[in-house]
Amino acid sequence: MDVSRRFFLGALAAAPLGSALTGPTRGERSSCSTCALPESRAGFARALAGRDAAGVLVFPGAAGWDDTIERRVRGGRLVIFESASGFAEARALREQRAGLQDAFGLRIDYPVTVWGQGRRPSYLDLGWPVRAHIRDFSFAVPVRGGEAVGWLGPLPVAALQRAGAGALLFLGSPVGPALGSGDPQAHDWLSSVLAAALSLGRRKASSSP
Amino acid sequence: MKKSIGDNMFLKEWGFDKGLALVKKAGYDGIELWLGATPWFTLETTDAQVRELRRKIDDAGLVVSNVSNSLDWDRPISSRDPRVREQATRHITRQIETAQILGTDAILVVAGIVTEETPYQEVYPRTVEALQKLAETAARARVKIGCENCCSEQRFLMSPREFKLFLDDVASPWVGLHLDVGNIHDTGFPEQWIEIHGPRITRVHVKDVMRHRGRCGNESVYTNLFLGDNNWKAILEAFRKVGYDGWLIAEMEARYRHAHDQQFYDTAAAMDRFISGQL
Repeated sequence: MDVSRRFFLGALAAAPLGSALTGPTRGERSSCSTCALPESRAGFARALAGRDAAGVLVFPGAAGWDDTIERRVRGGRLVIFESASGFAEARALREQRAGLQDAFGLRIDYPVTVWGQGRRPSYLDLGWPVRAHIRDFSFAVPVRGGEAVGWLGPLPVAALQRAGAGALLFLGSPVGPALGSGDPQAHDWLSSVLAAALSLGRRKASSSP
Repeated sequence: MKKSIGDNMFLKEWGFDKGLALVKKAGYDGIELWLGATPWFTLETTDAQVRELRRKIDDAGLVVSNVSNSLDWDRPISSRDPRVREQATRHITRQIETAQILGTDAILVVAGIVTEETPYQEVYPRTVEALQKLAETAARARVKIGCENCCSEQRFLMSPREFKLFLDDVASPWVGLHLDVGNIHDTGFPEQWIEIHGPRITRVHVKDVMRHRGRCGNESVYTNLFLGDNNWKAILEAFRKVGYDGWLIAEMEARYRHAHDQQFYDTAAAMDRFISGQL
């Protein structure tokens, strides 16, 4: 197969972060979610470097959808799906919408411009696994369904949906940039997410025959 | 030191040719071209058209002091949106390309804009990263990128030491400071900026500033040379101390309400007084 450097780098940027990178992926059908926010990817990568991220898979700054997510979640992973639909084409949002609805029953809406119409909310309030107060990132994707775990003012923009042995954590307001710029609350929150994923993995192991 | 003035000061009805003739007649040595600010120099202007601009400048007996742009404010390299950052990279790259065609070795950019929405802690690393990439293009073209100190408008790199650390982080000899001695307002003193940055100064914008007045509606804090609070004697001494002998470029924000061309003559005369040290 003729793979150009540009194609290779594009595919690399779209790859999820986490332990699943080491797992077998050949033969998996995927519409290949792309990353529309490279700095979010860099933020997560930096924050995850050298840490035990077993059981966690991150799709940072995702535009579009990846058909393998449902299987990965049901198989026991905690998948962090961070939407960057506010920075992507409309088609990417449509894909994401259909994927989240079909696989997890989550309904997402059009991205809202957080700073439009004189609004100045400026902070995302996350409530799971620990509370964290993190700067917004200009656009946010409202979500309904699952357990609401993050809000911009009154607007739910993050949700946790358990499925099979794992869970999907949908982030409609990007957290990666705050990780990249060293926000301590964002780092504490990620540490708690990693710990939650480990306990999810232990539960899965103890329930296996 | 040599005198220059921006083509963004030309009245629209003059056009490029008449403006150029005025610049020469008023006694300037060169002209600063502003990408995106005038109809004759936009992102759509072709290489051939840029060469034609240069021919006219040559024929007028002038040279291009530097290429600036008016696009950074709407399309900053520090934007949260990667697509906007890509646009910014494109117009700065075009500045570098046109600088080569126009025979100058310096461009001006407004690097990084902090807003209530886009906070400092994001703007800093994004701007450093973008400039490190652009520095490679600049090095190949042998054109220096001068980051202007628009301190209060940018809300970024407010002190000379902060600006120095920023340039240290960019770490390229092809990225320096385009110093505007009128932009420092009441947060410092231009002569101290000159001493701290010395050889990293690529070009200098001159205008005077009324430090303590603040903006009021459309009223500007900027004024003509010697009418404001800058200590021009100290500024000249600092230039002499660090050995700056390059371009001084008039950037007059406050414009004459009548006899617009008179501002070109008056500013040139004031710059001559400054350069000759008759203060």
